[in-house]
Amino acid sequence: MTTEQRIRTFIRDDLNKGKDVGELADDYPLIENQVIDSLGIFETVQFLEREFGTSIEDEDLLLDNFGTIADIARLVESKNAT
Amino acid sequence: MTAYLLHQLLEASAAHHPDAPAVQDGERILSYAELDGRANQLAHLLLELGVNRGDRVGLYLDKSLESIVGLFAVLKAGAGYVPLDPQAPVARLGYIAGDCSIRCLLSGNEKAPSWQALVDAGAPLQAIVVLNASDPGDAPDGVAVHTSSAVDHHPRVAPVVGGIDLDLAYILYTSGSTGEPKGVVLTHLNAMTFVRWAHERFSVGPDDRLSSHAPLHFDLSVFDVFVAAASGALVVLVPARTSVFPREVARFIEANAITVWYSVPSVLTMLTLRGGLETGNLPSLRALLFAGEVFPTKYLRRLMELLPHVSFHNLYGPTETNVCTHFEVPSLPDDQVEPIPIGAAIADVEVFALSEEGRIARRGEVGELHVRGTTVMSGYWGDSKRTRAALVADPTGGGRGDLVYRTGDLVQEDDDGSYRFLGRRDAQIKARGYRIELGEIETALYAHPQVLECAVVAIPDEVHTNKIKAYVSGGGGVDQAALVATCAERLPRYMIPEIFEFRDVLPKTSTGKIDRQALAGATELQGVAT
Repeated sequence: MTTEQRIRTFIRDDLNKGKDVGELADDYPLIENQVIDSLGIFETVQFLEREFGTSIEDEDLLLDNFGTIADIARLVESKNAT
Repeated sequence: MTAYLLHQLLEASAAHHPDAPAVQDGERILSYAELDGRANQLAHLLLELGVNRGDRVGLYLDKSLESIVGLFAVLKAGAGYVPLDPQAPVARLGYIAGDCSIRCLLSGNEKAPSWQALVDAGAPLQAIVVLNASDPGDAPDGVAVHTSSAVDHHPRVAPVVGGIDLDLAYILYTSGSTGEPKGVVLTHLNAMTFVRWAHERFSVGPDDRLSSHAPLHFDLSVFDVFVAAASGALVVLVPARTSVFPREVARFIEANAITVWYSVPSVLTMLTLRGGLETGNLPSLRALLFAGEVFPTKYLRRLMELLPHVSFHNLYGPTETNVCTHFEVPSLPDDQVEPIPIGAAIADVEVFALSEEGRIARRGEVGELHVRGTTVMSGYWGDSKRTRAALVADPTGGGRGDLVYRTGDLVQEDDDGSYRFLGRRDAQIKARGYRIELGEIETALYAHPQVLECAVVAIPDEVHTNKIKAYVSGGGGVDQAALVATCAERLPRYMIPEIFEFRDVLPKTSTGKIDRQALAGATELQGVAT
């Protein structure tokens, strides 16, 4: 599975279990549509740290990094590349 | 003339400071003259559409310049506004619209896809005005849709509509224990008493820049919108996405030079823990107000250390009373862990605690908080039975016959006259500042045909006050995903249980009721063990 697919599976099956969140395309706005809310953001961070071994700092918690699945994948890949 | 209706606050500021900025939404700003003029134009259209004094007009759009214009327009037309949570399931909103007979809806094109479902769910709509589009979109069956272009040709002067301060201003729907939300009816006077006090107490003036964090269906918004209007101050709308990221909250306050911030404590706890604040940050901020739930003392103390130039204020009051008490937080000793008090009554409001025997509780004794004064609601919409249970004859009034509100909150008075909140008499809880009746969640769960028994309990959580856990026994095939989906059709997101536990049978008390205390106790024990 690609990074994007693993993130999508988490958001759909774990974070939003049972709720109809639609297709969740890579560029679908997650925050605007409240697919990730103020509680969900910290569960998402825990998932990324566990799943990808990425260390997410407080200063990474920005809309630019979590706006879409593509944004999150980019964050994970850039953090893990350094 | 002194303003006695909420929209007169706007009209006075538009006369005194026509060019001053009134409301800001991202890059867009309306001056006081523009806000007042647009609200007048829309009020004329509402009157043309047949809105009468005392009618209820729904607001169903994301918070924006347009929603603020809409809210004032409804008041100027002599009607009351009913803010509908744009994120709530349409079944719930359809119930609300039916309950208080919303025939006219102010909406936005972002909600157009939900209009038909809202009508199907029982909303008796006749007209929709789309405030942010010139394209009417797909009209639901039998509903006339008007666009912003229908507003523009109306006069920019206020329509002449009578009104007194006992008239309906807005209805806020809150969670109801029997499974349906209930509408708290608030008059102009109810809000004005609070607005006048807050305007003076926090010395809000034309140079202030207030945040608007709470959604309009949450009563914290009354401060943001109307205290700003009373003061000629600017209110800056906080985008919903900003609150998800603590650093974005800090950045927002800094970039917009916010002077007075008002929100639920959980947002401030996250700002403290993850906001990247350092001493000396947010220099423009002068007052920080919070309400809706208990602010954990250790995080409050940390935030006060980070923002030594800011005053901190705890505002308390169920929706039924606006705000009724206030506590300005002094410096907190390092070893204090107990929550800060809710404080003493605001101006022109009286509070007292009644013991179980119905007499005034002595200092230090636990009692139920009662509120007397003009901030207290006139009742629940169309529900005289619940109204009679909540608004009771003043037991201290010596037969004067005026009504006081029973909050259901257990409190204790300190030696200095401040009250402390201890807990609830019933199954109402708070989570992220929202008030939630656990019974309403149970009713939603029972809507799933396979659910035989269920009980919903609150699990204390440091940051969000409570998490919601559901215990369920049911036939095969009932699983967490199915139950979440059932709840999501009926309940706002913040009421959907976060934890589910399935059992063959639920424990019973000697009278055969589900033993919620045993379940809550089991949860606490698990919490200790892990």
